[in-house]
Amino acid sequence: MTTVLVADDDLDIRELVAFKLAQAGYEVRSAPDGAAALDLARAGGVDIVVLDLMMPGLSGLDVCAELRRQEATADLPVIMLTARAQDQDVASGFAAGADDYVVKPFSPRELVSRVQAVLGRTRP
Amino acid sequence: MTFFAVVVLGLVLVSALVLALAVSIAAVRGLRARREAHRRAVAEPLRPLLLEVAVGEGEDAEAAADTLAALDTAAWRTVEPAVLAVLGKVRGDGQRLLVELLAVRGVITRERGRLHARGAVRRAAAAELLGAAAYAPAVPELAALLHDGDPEVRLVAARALGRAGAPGAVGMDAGDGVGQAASALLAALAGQQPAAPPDVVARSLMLLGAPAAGALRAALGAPSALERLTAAEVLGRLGVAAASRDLEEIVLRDPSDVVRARAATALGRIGAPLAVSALRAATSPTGAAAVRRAAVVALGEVGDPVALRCLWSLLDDGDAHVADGAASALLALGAPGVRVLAEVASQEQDGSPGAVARAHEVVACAVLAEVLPPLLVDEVDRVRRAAATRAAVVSVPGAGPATGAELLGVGA
Amino acid sequence: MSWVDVLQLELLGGTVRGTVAVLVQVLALPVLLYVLAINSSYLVLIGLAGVDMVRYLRRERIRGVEDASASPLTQSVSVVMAAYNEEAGIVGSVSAMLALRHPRHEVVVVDDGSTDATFALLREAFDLVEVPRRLPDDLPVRARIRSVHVPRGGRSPLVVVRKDNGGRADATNVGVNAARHDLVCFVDADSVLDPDALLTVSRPFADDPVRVVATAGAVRAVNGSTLVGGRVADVRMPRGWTARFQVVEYLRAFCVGRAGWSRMQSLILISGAFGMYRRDVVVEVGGMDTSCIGEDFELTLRLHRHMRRTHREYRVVFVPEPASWTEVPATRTVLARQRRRWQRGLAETLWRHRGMIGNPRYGRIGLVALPYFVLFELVAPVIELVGVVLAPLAVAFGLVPWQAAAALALLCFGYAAMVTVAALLVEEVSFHRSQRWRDLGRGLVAAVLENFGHRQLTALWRVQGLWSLLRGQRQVWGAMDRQGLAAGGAASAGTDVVVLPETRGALRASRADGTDRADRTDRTDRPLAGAGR
Repeated sequence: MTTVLVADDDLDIRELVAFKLAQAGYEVRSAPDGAAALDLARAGGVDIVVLDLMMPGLSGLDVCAELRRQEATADLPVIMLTARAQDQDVASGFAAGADDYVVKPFSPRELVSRVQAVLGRTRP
Repeated sequence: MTFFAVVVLGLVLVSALVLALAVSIAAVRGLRARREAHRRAVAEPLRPLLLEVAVGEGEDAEAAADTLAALDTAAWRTVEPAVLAVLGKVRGDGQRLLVELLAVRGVITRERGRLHARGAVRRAAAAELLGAAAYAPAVPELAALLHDGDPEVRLVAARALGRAGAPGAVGMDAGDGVGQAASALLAALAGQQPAAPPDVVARSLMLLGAPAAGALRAALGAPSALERLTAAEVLGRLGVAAASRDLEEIVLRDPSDVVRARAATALGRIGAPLAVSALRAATSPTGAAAVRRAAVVALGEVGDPVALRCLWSLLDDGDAHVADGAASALLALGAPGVRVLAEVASQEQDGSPGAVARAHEVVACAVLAEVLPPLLVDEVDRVRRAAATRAAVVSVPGAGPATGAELLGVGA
Repeated sequence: MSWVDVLQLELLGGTVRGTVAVLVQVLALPVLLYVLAINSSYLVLIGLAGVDMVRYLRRERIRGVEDASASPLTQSVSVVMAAYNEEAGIVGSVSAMLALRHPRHEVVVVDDGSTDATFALLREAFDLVEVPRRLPDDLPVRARIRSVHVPRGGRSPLVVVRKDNGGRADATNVGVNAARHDLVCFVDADSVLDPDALLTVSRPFADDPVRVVATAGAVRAVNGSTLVGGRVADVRMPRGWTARFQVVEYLRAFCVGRAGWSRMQSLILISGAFGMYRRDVVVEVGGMDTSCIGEDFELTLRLHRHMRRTHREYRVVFVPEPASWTEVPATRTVLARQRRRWQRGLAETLWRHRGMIGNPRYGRIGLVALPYFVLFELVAPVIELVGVVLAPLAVAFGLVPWQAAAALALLCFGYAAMVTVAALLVEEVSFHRSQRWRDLGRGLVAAVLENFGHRQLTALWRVQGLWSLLRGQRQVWGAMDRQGLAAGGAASAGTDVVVLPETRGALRASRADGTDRADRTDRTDRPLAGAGR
């Protein structure tokens, strides 16, 4: 079963994403902040990460860059969840190593299809 | 001992008051805890239903919405805040279902009524909710609220219009909600005093998106400078390429410096190569400082090498902001711009000292901070080596410093 | 026999007892009335603050913070952080500042000639590289700039400027020069900001772009609370009573000093631990004054002065929530130094701007806020100390029966405690950041207990501060050629003060340095000049 890690400091978003992905047949683990997300990702067993861009403490960009830096998680696909759809933010997300992004307020259906698409692209 | 008695009486009174205050603190806290416990007991079990509605797919979602719609009044009152909290966070079917649920529960009608409430905070809160619900039928009422007497209400109304008037809003199919919202928002900037803060209005116009482009372009000809300025700003942010011509016109001819500067920035964001000549004209030394600065930055953003020579000549401009802007703009132009900078930086004897220092600083900062792609770093190295070679053979006749034409080799 | 005759008779008698008797007779009533007046004024201000906070809370949902966090048009902010020997927490606080919720903010750290590993740690954590960037000279700077550093690859919006030591005010001015955004936010190097703090405190600038020139954020005492991922997760009462007294003191002081005055459009003190300004306005008034101890108070006052003089319509707004959290001194020694310094800074600044006091030209600031500060902040500790000394003497000489003296003292204390409890009620109704019942009990006990000892000590320290100023001034005037030096000394992190042991609480128990640092921190996180009465 494919496991998705969801990190967002907003409880509503976290639960909505988790609920939708669970409905779509994924196993979901969630983290309320960047540090917890990193810990969970390092612990292994995660196939894809959905990261909120703006989290206090360790931002989504930081987490993504950190994941890329470490060998074990370097290839882990990352989808950014961001309220800021300006090109520069999207660009810095991609620069940090994100594979795709979804704009908040988000469409749950779109999120699922992006998860599927990214997984399809990155997996052999 | 009457004095003593008075003092003791005062002491008793004060102690009683301290005690009373302490008890009220405890009471406030206790009540809050109880309310929270109650909310949890009622709302938590219903949470999965709410999530089901919010992700909004298929019959399950419809069924969940029906269950929530059928709750008794007391239970609904406890759940309502949770529903409202989720409201602004999803788009698509989920959002539509949530708004339908609110409509069934009478919340929408209630809030529309409150748009005319006596208390300003109530009116504002109602506007906020209808905005979060992206409830398009409320656009006319929200637009009317832009004339409210209370500045806070006008601000919230302006913000709400950006969501209720947006193309994806619930119930947008009928009528021209977007256009209506756009013209109302722009009109809010028309008067002597803007009805709402310009940045809030601009943000809402951005949320309205491309369908608002017509109204925005029309606003470029408005008599109010603030209206023209905001229209230019938003057109740039939205990247409406069709507006380039109008914006060029503004850059060259608008009576207000601020508006011309903003239009130049907008052209940079749109990135239309055809706009370069207008922007170049705007950098002319006779122009206003604000316009020149904006135009220089915009030239970097448009990214057309045609601008190289113009930017190069501005590196030692009398206005330090313009000169710095020109250096950054050259950097933004990529390989050709970086080549010019590196060349200028290496002309220590012949170039203008200001230009050399500035070019050197920008290139060195970029190289050291490793913000340049490797290709460009190689380019810088190559130019530096070439300059070193030239310096070595400078005694040889004919091997003078690089000419402008050489520098601009790529652009020409 | 009128009291004048008594006065003459007793003075002629010339005994100590006679003198005390005269003093008691002349001063007892004024002191009592003063205590009554000052506490009543606090009560009124707390009432105003309560109204203000309720107003603020009612607007919670319509404030649009979510929207502001997503909008590319939100005004950008440069967070300016002066750091001197901050190796213990600098990396954590810079990361936390970078991760605050805001669409576009940068962090400018000014390393004010630290002698510890502050910079080395920053360089390692953020992969800094030195760049030949020149800083604009919008504000005059005294000390030499050594170098400018940015993260490699432009990974995060961070700038670190290294300079020779020149004091907090000078470092802050350098930070303003390096700041590239329209708004500058001054914070302490060890401040912990709530995640939305930057967005919320910058909001008034956007809502009223023409008039708002500065906003003040709330400052709370963090001692005892737990931090998770760079933010305050669980608010708790600290262990020691010294810190506990300060927790309630800060709550009260913010009610009294900030929300109340803001309601009256007369906010004259923006704490250096969390204040935001329009950069152009800071440049216009000349930045922070490097020759002044209370540079944050001085800047706010100068801002008001400038705006009134140039006849501009302007506003200074207090934002009660979210807050910046700061660690308060956990021992008496450091607290004593802090309070001496605050009082000295307060007096110095008021002296410098004495022309504004009572001056109708400065509107409510000149006619209400400043006279109030002089009457109830500057003079308060002196009068309180008079009462504290006089009462036991009067009892000792049998002038007043001890029961009466005790009852009166208790009445005064009781009234003061009531004021504090009223402030706690405002906090409970509004933001209720502390959750535990036990901590509520501790807070209430602290509100009562602080009247027995802590408050008298505070008054003593503050009088000492005033005294040191008077003495210091005489010295400067005596030797004019030393004035520049003396002024410089005061600014450069208080080199005039002697070594003190490290006293910060559990959070940085491991810190080994701390003399200069603790001293410098003293004057930055003040909730209000004179948190005591």
